Amino acid sequence: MNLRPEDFQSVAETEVANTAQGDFVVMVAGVFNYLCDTAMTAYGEQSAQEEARAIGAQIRTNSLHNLPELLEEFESNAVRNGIQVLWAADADEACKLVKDLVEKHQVKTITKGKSMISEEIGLNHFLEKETGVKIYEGDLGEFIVQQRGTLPFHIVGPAINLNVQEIASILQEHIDMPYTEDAQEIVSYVRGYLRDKFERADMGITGVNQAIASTGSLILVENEGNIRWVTSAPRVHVALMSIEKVCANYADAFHLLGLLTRNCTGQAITSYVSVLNGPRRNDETDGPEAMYVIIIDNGRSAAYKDPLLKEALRCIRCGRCGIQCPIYLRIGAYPYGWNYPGPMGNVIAPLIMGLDRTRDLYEACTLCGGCQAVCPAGMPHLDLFARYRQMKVTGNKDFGGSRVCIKERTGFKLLTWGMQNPALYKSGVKIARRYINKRSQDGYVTKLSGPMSGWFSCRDFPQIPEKSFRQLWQEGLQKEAAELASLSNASPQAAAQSEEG
Amino acid sequence: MSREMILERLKSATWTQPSPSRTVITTEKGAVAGEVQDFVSKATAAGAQVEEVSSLAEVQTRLMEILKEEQLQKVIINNDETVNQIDWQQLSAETTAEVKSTAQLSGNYRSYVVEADLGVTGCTYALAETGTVVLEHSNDNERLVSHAPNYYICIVKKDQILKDRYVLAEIISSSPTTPTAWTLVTGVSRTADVALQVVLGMHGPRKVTIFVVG
Repeated sequence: MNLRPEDFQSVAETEVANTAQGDFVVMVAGVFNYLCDTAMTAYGEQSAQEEARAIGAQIRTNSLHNLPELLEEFESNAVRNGIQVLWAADADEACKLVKDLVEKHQVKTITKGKSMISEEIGLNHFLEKETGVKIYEGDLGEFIVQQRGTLPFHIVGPAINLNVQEIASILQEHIDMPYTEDAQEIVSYVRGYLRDKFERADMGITGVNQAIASTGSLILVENEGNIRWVTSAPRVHVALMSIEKVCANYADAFHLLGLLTRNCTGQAITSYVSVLNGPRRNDETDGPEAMYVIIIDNGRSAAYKDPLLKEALRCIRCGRCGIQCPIYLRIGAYPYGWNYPGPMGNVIAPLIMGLDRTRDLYEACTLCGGCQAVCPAGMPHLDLFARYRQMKVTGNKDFGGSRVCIKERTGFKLLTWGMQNPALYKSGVKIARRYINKRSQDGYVTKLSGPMSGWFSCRDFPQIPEKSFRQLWQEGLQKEAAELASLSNASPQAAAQSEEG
Repeated sequence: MSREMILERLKSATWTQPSPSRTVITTEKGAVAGEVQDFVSKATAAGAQVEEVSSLAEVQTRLMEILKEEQLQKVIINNDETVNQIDWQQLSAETTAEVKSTAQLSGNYRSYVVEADLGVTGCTYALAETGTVVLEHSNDNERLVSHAPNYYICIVKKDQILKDRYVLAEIISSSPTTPTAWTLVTGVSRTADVALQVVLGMHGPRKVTIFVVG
């Protein structure tokens, strides 16, 4: 399934029709929200939880304020520990660096820990095409979607949209698993299937949850144990990290870790946290002989120059925002057309793939603010979405945004002018009411001909009420005044009491 | 070249200002009442079987029972100060289990550890906050001993239990030496990737027992 952000509208139409999936995802989101809310109570009452989130936001602010210095400090300490640090300007360079390492170390088999940055740069596809190396995803959900050939549905649960029958059929077809709908048996079969790969792989590839500048360490979190295998057994370990993953020290990293897991799976800590300081030494057998970190930019440093756009780099990838989002819950992950679905991806997609390509992503948002309210890293989602929409209208060559057409620009200019003039606004609403309501059905307009036809291609608009809020308000005031007047006429004392009340 | 380009771009940001003020994260050091009980209850909730015992002799007795009950044939132990106080020769002699230490195996270590039924280690610290054991890795404390076998047993001394991760962060940060890796293990390996059903024992041990000694 080759999905692109440009196909958002058509894929969303199909996905919305899949009501069984939609209902299941809403149910899953409810469960996760409950687990996450409960886990956050470990910090104490609401105010203590807010303080914990505020500290998380401060830590991310500190990392972003000092990003180049922290990256240099991390690099120098990692190199001192024996880690080789490489830098990649974009996805293409990152993939080529890994390819060079595959060739240099004569790698035949790779096992992977779940890594969103590797999905972002399209690493699996590139390596399989360019080197013929065999790649096995180690995380069960990623392994299932790798067999199925689709994008991960959610950052934590890549296959969470699939029911047990679908998973059983996929594994039966691709790895000859005897068909079973017993989750324990499925897990047991995949465990056995991958164990041999873990033991024999030449290279392990992972992402990075946090890189610690003061010690040059990498922190990786997981529940399944695939990352422990991938970083312990192969002779080469390659860790991929985007530039914003660095933080100052252990205290900062461990605080973020608590927020990450509590807002991700509702756990105080995951089953395993690996803190990796370098390749194996002297007489050690476990751990890689050679360890590399590839620091990937891929459009981020260009955004960093802008005081608001750089805020998009706050994300710690907990995925909590997604399960708040009324759009994501209804359409699922696939319409977004890349590996970071929902608000988490929408804040950064325009910076990586360009404003034009990702237009539907930052526009498919009601600006309800659910994502922003729960974010443990202080992400200003709403300001960013508003900014992308503004950049889209005015055009921005640096971020792949051509100006919208003259028709749309004129439309927005007229709207701005009209909204600044109450008399014009009032008459405009009157005309629009007549025009729109005449074309509505069951309370909604679903299509219009003429200059607004494009806008309605993926939107409905409710009938405009016969009376505006302003009219209702005026009428309310008049009614109140009339009541007071009648009371005053009937009994001056009662009116005075009513006024006091 | 990409390195210079990326860093130059980041450094050329004109908005750069001093970092805003930070809330200091405070930690309570030293023994805190209820730490052991917190550790036991949190580790149990994470899927580990936790047994409080008074001495290593009691651990030895329980190990004997476990080896027999579970009919374990191959055991791998870390060359760890606490683990080495157990009389493994006696355990091996009185059961059908073969016991090897990482110190004995050297070249054969990898082939042995992937076939072992049980791995036994001590730990460097434990965290009451989450029921976590903290393992510091070296040639005597290899990583897969606690991960490859189906069954993992960890021996924790009460005085190794710290209040929380913030205390651990302070200890690690001020340590003069850096091991190749630390692993924080909390309960049993798990997944919920099959239709949200929680299944224990995905890629790590299926069963974990922790002896809290002291």
